[in-house]
Amino acid sequence: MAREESSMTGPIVDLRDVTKTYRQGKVEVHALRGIDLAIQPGEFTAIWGPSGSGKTTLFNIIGGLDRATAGKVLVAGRDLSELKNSEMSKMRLHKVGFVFQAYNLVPVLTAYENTELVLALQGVSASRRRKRVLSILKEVGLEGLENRRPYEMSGGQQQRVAVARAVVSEPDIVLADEPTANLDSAAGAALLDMMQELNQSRQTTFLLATHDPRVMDRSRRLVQIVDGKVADDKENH
Amino acid sequence: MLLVKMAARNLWRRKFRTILTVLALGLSYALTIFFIGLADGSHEQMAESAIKFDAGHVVIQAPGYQEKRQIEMRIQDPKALATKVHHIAPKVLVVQRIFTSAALQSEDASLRIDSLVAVDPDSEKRVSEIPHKLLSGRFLAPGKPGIIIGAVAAKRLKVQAGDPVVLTVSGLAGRAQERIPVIGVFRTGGGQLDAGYAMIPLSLGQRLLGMGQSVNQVALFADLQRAPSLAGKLRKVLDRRKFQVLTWDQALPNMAQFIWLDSASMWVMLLVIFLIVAVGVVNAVLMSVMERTREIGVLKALGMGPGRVVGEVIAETFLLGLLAVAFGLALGLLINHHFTVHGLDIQTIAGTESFEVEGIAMTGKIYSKLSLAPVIQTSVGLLLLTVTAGLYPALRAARLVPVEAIHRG
Repeated sequence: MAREESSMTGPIVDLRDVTKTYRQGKVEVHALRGIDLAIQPGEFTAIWGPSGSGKTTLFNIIGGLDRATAGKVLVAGRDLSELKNSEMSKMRLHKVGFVFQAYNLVPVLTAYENTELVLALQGVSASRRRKRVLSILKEVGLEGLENRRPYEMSGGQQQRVAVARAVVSEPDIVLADEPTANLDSAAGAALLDMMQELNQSRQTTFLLATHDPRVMDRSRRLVQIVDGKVADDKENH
Repeated sequence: MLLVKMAARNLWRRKFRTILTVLALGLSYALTIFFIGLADGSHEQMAESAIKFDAGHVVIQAPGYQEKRQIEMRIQDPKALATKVHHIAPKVLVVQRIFTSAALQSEDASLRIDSLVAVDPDSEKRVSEIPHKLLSGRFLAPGKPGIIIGAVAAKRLKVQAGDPVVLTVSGLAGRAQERIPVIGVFRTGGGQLDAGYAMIPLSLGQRLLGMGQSVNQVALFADLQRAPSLAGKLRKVLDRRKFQVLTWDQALPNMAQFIWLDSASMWVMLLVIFLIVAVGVVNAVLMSVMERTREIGVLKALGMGPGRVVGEVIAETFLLGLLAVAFGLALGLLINHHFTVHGLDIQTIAGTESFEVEGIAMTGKIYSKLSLAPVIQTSVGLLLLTVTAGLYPALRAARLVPVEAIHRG
């Protein structure tokens, strides 16, 4: 299903001189040191770098799970620094999809119910939810597994459900933090194929944090983060 | 609905803990139902026993008689009053009484009777417990002079059924005396009654006391629950200058107060039990929330607001309470039914064959009696308590910071 044309003309994500400093005991940790980054609609971009480089902190700030110490963070045209916690929560619900390394499905819900969760929180009617959920589960290759609980599925299948959950509400951006880290090569490859397919068919913007070369190979743009700064930002041919 | 599904399934994730919590809460509730039924049943038995000796479900007396108990405070035409009563409540039993004190003298001893009651034998025997407590002799008969006394009084006077005694009273026409036979000896088990309570026929009492056709009390017998409404109807039609209408609890304030205090102390005890169990509920729900810290963090990351997080935890607690109420109610009703049918031996509770309450002896068995109102009140109360117990864990869950919760889990 092609994504509706975004009303946005500018970047989906626009970070200007973003810093993040936090305290660990008496020590001040500078997780991000003046990040400038713009992500355009429809991108399939990898944020890569060594552990501790600031990738996860960057993701948390873009996703509205954390706040920058300084700088401008614009997501879907909204300045996150101006949002109260409740507004931030609503922003995440409607604008951002998350895929976590550890899948993080709700264990007591089926694949269908995990996928429809965000739509239910958004207040979408049951009949519309059903249509969209079944459609996306088919797209991610999980047709017939709707009633399975997470413990009844493989890691690859669980991560597909997580992607379906992230995408079903047609967010402005999907943030996938190390999505293939817990998957074997076959499952990881299959997941990446699926995510690329969704990116192309639905024009969903994907931002993936990774240090997996397979993910980097598939990404059209590579942004390298080292010591909290953008060390490199290039098209991947 | 999805959140309710989650709540229900989350309860079942830790089956043992859920079952244990439901059992604790449910057993407490079953105990509550049992205690309420037993208390209400025993209170009704106490009230009915006391009513039969001194009052009725509704009592009509001269204004001021309740406080002063002066024999000259009379109802002049009790038959006309009975007719008026029957216009309003045709099925009500009307009983007439005179109350006074007396002296009894036998050949060997003399004794003061604190409570001599002159009654119409035909109507009185339909309500009184005395006919069922006779050790010897018979109950009063209309128009036949005689006296029924308690076993303790008989022992002190050294008389038995058939022996003569001299009855001395002080009435409207001054002191009066008559030699009459003891026609029955009763034993209730209550020391006060068996020593100081006696009955004579109404005609004898009216003659000795110079009362004419008047009486001190017209007692009405219907049932405890209908007493207030019956009293209300009577107050509207009867002349307040001549008649004071009282419900049984107004006529027997000491008994009513005892019952109230007994109930209150029972409720306090039950509340304490529930609060203790509620601590267990808080613990169980808190553990459930803490075990799901990461999951709650993810849900908040996805956009579930704090209100919904609270809602989900409260839904869990509510379902827990519902299960407990259902289980406790079923068990409690079963136990209550057993004691409604078979009763509980007073010997088992009190360690003796009888015990006295405000001079009234309770003997034999206590039967449970459970009405709908306390069942509904306690069910709702328990649900509210359970939900309240879930508030702290719910608010804790709502305050979790998503990014910290995801990494902590």
